Amino acid sequence: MAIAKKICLVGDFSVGKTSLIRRFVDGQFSDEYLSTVGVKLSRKRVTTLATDAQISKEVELLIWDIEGQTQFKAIAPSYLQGAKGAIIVADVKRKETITHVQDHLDLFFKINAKGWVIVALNKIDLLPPDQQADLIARCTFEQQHRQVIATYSTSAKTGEAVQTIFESLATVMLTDP
Amino acid sequence: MSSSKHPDSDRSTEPFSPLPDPWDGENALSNHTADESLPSDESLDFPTPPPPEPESDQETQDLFKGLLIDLDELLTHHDSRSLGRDPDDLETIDDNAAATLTQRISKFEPITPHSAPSPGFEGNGNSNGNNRHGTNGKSPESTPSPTLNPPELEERGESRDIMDFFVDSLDQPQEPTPELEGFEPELPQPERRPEPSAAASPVPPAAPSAPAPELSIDLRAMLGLEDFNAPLQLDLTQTSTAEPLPDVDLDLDLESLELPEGMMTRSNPASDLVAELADSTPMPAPEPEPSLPEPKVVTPPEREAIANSQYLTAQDFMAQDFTAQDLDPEDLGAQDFSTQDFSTENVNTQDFNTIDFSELPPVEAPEATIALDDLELASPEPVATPEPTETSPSRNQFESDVEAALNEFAAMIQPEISPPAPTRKRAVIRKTPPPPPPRRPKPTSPEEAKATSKNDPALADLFRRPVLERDDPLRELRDFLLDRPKPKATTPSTAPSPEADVMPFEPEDLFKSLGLGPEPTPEPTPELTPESTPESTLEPTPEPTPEVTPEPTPEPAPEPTQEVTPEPIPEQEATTLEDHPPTLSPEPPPVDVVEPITVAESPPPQTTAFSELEAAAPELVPAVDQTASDAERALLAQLLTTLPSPSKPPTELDLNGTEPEILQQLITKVQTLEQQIYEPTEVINPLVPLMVQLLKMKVGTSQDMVRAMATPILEEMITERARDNRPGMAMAIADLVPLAIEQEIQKHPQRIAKAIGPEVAAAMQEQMLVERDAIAKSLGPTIGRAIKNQIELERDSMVDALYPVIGGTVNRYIGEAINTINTKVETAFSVDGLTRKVRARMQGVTEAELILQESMPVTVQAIFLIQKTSGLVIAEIQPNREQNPLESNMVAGMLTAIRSFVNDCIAQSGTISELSEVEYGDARIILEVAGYCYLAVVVKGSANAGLLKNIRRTLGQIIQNYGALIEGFEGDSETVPTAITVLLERLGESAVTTRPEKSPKTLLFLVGVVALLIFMPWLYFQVRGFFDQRLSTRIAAALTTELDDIAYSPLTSAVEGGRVRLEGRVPAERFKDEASTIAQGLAPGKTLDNQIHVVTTPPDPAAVAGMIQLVTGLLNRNPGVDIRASYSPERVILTGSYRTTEDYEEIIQAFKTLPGIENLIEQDLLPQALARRIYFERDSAELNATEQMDKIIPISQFLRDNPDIEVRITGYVDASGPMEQNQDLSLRRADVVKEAIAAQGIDVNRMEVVGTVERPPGVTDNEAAWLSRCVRFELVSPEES
Repeated sequence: MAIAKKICLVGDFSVGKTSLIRRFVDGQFSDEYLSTVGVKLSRKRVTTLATDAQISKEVELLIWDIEGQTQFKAIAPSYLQGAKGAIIVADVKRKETITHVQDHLDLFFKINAKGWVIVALNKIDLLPPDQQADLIARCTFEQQHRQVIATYSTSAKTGEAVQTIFESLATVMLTDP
Repeated sequence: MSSSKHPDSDRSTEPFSPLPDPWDGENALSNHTADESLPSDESLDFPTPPPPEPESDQETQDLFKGLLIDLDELLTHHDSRSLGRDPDDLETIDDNAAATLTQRISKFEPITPHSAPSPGFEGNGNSNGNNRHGTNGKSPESTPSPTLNPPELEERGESRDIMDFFVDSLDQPQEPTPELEGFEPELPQPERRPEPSAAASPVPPAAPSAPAPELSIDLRAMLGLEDFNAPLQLDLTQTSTAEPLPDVDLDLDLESLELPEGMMTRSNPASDLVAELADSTPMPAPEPEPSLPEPKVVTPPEREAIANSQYLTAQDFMAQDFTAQDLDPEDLGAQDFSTQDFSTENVNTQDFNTIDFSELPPVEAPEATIALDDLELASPEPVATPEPTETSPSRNQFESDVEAALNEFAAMIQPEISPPAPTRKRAVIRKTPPPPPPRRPKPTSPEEAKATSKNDPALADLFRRPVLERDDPLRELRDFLLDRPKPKATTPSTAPSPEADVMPFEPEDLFKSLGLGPEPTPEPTPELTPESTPESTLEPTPEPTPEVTPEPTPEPAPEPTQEVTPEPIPEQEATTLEDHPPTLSPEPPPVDVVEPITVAESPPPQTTAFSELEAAAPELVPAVDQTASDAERALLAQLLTTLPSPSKPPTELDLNGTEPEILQQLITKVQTLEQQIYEPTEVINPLVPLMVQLLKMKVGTSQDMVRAMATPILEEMITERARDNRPGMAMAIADLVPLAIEQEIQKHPQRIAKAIGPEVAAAMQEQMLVERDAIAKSLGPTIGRAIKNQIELERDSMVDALYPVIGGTVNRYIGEAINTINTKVETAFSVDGLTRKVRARMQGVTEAELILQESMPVTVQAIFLIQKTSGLVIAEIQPNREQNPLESNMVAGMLTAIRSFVNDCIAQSGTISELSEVEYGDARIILEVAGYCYLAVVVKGSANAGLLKNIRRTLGQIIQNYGALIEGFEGDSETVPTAITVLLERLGESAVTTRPEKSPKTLLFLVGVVALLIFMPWLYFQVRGFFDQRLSTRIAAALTTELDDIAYSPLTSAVEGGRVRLEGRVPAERFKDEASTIAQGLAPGKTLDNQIHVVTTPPDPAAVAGMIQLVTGLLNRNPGVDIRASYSPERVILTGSYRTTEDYEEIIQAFKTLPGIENLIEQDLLPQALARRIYFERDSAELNATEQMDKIIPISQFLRDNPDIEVRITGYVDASGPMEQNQDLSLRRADVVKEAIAAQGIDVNRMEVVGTVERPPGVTDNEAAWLSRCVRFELVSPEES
């Protein structure tokens, strides 16, 4: 049995966490919005990118799709326990979701001090190209937290960077446990 | 002959007359009328001159233009008028003609030759004026023809037929021909020129009236009729009306061109005349007589002037026959017409055949002419023509010559059928020119008409066939192109050729006339012959030919050919027509076919050939110009002959014999031509660029036309293309297919459904073969809904469908369950069953539940050791799920999430609670949580306490040994020691072995022991009781035997252990003792409990009383004893006194021994002394002295005597005194006595004093008081004291 890692997708409601997972795991996308209740588990084997320190390995990612944070309901911390990594998702079309990324980061690092995080600015396909670069430039989470690996602009609809965020997260988790 | 000719001409004219109308075309009848009226003026006015000039100037350009225009015309079928006006204005014309295009096209193909080509060509080639002229000319021509026709009709119906052929092939030429014919016959009769003209002139006028109606009728009838004759007539009529005029115009133009040229050059003086002639030639129709004779006469004279005889000879036998001049003009006219006819034919000939023929004829014709006439004759004509325009005419001449030659070939072929016809034809031809419309002349002569008609269609068929067989579309196009160009080329050429042709025509006519009316033709011929040697040579041939011709023999063929050839234009047409018949004829057909085709192909080569011819022409021309010598003409004739020679050996041979060199040259040229013909590429290549241009123009100008042309072959094109290049076609169509299907589905869904329906199943099957899961995947989502829907709609059918499956499944399941239950029931009374009953009773559940529980044993499906925080699986075993293992990490993660959810959301805050079990169906997940991990055990069946205990113990061991490792678990399963897995496996195994099978042996043993323990004492007691019973019975028996008589009740004995108890009643103690002794004797070792009662019986009171009496009596006998005994039941009271104690003893003993006396009361039995009472006074305790002395002394004495007697002294009182005093008194009285006795010396201790207030015994209340005031003595027994 390969190495298994638990990662969580965290973010406000309707930022596309489930869609990202669905795109990554099933390769599908649907415009239909189905709110996740509680937590939903997905599993996918990922081959990590070979790095200088480590050859590529196969990791079984247990992806916890945690219901999004809403104004009235915070994320259950217990779901985050034991997660080695997290993808914190924000919606580029909703500013508040981006501002909430910091909160999610704090919560995650509070529970998993050694965890790794990738920030995904989702629904980038809805943003005109000229605004994309500007937006990414303003999101500098990786500079504030050492354990934030990177910030990607993703799109579950087009599949942009979806594979990348999971693979890079898996790679970092294995490389630098 | 001449006479015969005349009638022939008349006949021909008649049929021709109708023709012109048709040519006029579409306007047939009206044209006729108009034509009749107008012809002369217009023809005169517009004479060819104007057109000819431009044409002559723009030869090459004209050729192209002409080609294009012709094509357009052919395609558009423009009326000669519209087309003729402005070839440049094709578009406009097209617009006008567009409507008629299709008609024309349709006509084109079937009847093509007549209608379409002729008008188009003419129109194109010539200006409107020309056309008009043509029309005019035609009408007049027609008019003459009718005149001619009547005689012809009378004389020969066949001729008409032939004429029809001619007309068919050459619509226009007919017109001229009539003139020619008219002239011809006339000429021969009167005098070649003058006569014909005059005759013609007179004839036509007469004719017009008659023919016109006939024509009209014919046309009308023809219109209605489509049969051979009918179509032909119709065609002719129509074509003649429309075409003939244009044809005539063309011819006129050509002629005019030629003529003017010739006129200009050679016959300058006569140029006007020539022009007039040209004009007149067409014109003649309207007023043929004056105009025709004039022009004809003029032209021939001119030519004649240039080379009179030559012309005549060269052109036709007619010329030969007739006076050269006369013949010439006629010939010219005829030529013109013939050329026109050819052109028209060509044009008309939509069937290339006609064109071919037309083309052929010119070539052949010249040859024939040459052959007949002589080289000179042939030469002069070309020469003459070349002279004016030199090159063009020469070309034209050459072309015409070539055509004539071809015609000759055709004629050669034709002869077979034609032979009879040719003569007639010739005759007809002369007349025919008008008949061109009358091609139907056939109708006039039914037989011939039939033949002609047959010929025509046959020809058309043949032509079409080859064309179709080889390259239908292309050839058609080529033919059109060629035809048009030809007409133009030919037209100019025809102009010259006609001359040559005309020459032959005339000779032919002559021949015909000869054949028919021998005189004219033979006469002229001989006349001519003398004039021109060749003619003479020709003459003989023609003569035989007619003869032969009447004879269907093949030989006549050459002759007719010759004849035909001589008749350049009309004859050529005739030849063509004849050719057609030959085609019909068995022998010639092949040749014909080849020829026509070759011809069809040849046209282009002709152009090339033309060049050659031109090259040759100049030579000839100069020769003609310079000398116009007979030699040159002869050379030309030879050349011409040489050309036909290959095809026509006899004539050629005859001719060839004259001049081999020229013949050789001609042969070589012909060979080259043939090569060119046989190598179509050479011919085609130059046309290729034109083709594109033409097609473009055509498409641009009239799309309808092109569409109409293309539509019939579209299918074939597509199928052909699809056959050649399937993928290419597929790609081309591919894009449209989905769209087309979509459209069709939208428009006619049912049709699509019907089309696709049958194949859907097969398609699905195929798809399933290709991709097995695809169909299932696509249908899967809807199947559930479909089933649901179907259940709603038709529940019963679904039930029926599923019944076998569900029934079987349920049956099997129930069967298995029942089996297990049966076994349980069967063992219900086994130890297990009993124990289960006991357990059920103890656990408070039903036995059934226990049975079910036992029938579903506990199995451990899986055991996971899960890290509590991350939900990652540390270790796992799935012993019973090897085939379908759970996804451990998913299960673990979800369980973890559920745990977290329960802890966070459901459990009350502040309390620590854990989810311990998840139950689903008959299985459950037992969760046992420790610090950093928990065990999840998936159990099927009901878990028992033992398993839970095992789980806890196992988890305890794991935590104890590997707690740190578990806490730091990072998801890498390789870091987990195998010992954990081993522990889990052991746990799983323990769960399986928690229910060992107990053997019943021990229980049985225990039960046996218990039973034994219970049974032995019982047996012991049973045995002991038995013995005891036996002993007791023995004792009882003994007792009974010994004491039964004595005992009051039966004596019983009971043995209990070591005791023997005896019961019963006996009368005496000694019996009791006796029983004891007996029992003791029987049971020596046992203690004896003698419970036998001794019973005494009461004595009889009477007996007792008696006995007492007795005893008392006995005792009273003793001294001193005085006693009394009172007896009451159970008591005897003794009273009395005795003296001594012995006495007392005795008394007591006596009574005691008495039975039945239980109580003996002897207190009152006192000794004597004591028996006395001492009395006292009232209230005194003073002893009376007397009492003292009497009683005290004796008592004292007694007491003294009996020391051991003790006495009780009791004082009594009466009832008088108070109680207390009485008590005291009584007591004092006793004391007084005691003291008195004591005073006597008796111990006081022996005395006891008692006071009482009661009455003394034996004293009653009623007795005296004193008795109560006493003291009484009683003995006190020692015991009492």
